Amino acid sequence: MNLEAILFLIFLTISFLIGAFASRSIKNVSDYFVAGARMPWFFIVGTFIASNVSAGLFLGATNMTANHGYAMWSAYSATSIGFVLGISVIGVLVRRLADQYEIYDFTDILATRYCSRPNAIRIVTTIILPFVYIPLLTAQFIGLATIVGNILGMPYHTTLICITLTIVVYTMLGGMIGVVWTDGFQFVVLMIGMILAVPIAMKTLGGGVAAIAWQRITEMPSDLFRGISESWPWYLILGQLVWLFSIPIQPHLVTRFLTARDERSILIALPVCMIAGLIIYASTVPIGLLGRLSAPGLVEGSYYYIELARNTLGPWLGGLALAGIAAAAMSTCSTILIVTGQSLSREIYQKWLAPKANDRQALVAARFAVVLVGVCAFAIAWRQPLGIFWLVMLSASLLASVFFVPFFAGFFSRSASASGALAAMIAGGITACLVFFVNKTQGTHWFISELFAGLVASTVAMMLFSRLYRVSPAETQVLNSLIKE
Amino acid sequence: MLDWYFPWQYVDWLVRLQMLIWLMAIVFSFWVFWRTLIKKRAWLQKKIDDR
Repeated sequence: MNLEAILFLIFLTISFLIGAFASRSIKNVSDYFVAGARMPWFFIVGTFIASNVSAGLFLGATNMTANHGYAMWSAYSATSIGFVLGISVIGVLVRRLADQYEIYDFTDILATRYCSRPNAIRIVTTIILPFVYIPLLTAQFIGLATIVGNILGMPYHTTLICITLTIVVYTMLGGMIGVVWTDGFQFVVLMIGMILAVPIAMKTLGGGVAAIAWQRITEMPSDLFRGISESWPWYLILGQLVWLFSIPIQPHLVTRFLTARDERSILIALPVCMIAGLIIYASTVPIGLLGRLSAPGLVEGSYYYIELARNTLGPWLGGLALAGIAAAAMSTCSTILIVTGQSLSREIYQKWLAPKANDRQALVAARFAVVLVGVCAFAIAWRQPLGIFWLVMLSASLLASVFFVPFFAGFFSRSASASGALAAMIAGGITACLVFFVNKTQGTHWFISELFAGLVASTVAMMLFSRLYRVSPAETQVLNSLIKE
Repeated sequence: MLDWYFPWQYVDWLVRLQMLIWLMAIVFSFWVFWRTLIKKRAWLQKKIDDR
């Protein structure tokens, strides 16, 4: 076994042990669902960044930057606004709401704000979450098993079993505390991997002199340094705004803020998240371009990041850089597992099947739901279906189309009613799916992308239905409770 | 070395603008952070005054 593989196994073991250790701290449902709402700012930074960065950024984005260069900044600038809105607006308001009402998961947030029709809101949200998240989880499992199998020289199915077992067991045992702690560890690994990769790869590719590699990059085609070009036209640039609208309301990110100790922790985490995010996103462009230099004739289905890690970073840092991909994918997987599991156990078991369940039974149900979601994703990943990837591509736009308007209107408009929110979610979701299919099959750019169609439909539905069915006094009271002197 | 991550002189106006957006977001986040600290100081002062 080579050093790369050993480092990798150490990384998996540490993640597993942290999750198992965290299970000792779980005393009640609040610990399991929201980590007892006592996490300080540095854990908020770790969990927010690690959950936000998936294997897609390491592998997909670096392949994109190798081909499109700095044009990818259109996605990154939208992400920066998404971060600010997500942390300083949604994060703070969600925390404030959770201080006054019993909120354990994403569904609770919407059901509390739109309290005149909580059951309908819960049902729609509970249907959408697994629909979006199980394919996303499956895609992460497939990606992770392929890469890890490649590194360890193990067959896909064996690797898939090991990876799924590790992630599902540590998430099931540790709950949200385990997820936040492992996210903290994985955040450190991926930051070190990203920060060191660029200078070391630059030096190796320049034969010991970084300036030579840098000169080779600056001599690359000028299109790679342009924000708009033939290969990156205006509709792709505007399509990247999906990150601005989806990051603030993605359920697996919003629930991070429920774990925060208080509002202050979230606001202190904000600038640190922005700087860490800038370092990670900015690094992907030189990593992609250096990967292109190190492996010019890369075959379809290979990744520049992996080639760069193997060819230029040496066994220690290479192993760390590859563990960074696992860190990113594993933290996203565990976050999705816990969010979807929470939603199923709370909305189906606690609300419908056993409304009088005690703390212990609710905990068992939550753990069972995490395993159930993991088994579903595992069963799909076992067959490696290509058909699920359209759902993965659609996931960010779909989440933004469904939840952006109910969330922002819910917090900032006194006339946004529960019926309006329900109509907005349904209209936004259906429109986004329809436009996505038409654009994919016809090769068109209707509404630029499914995102804008979904947002327009969602806004119109919210305005119309909120006018027809007015906001209730109880909902106004919820909004009043959010105003701080 | 910062050039390796973002070569300001080589990229066009649109990419520069996109980088400026991120930098402005950082400035904004520090402003929010600063405000939070000031609030904390005021809160502490009030506690002391109340006693």
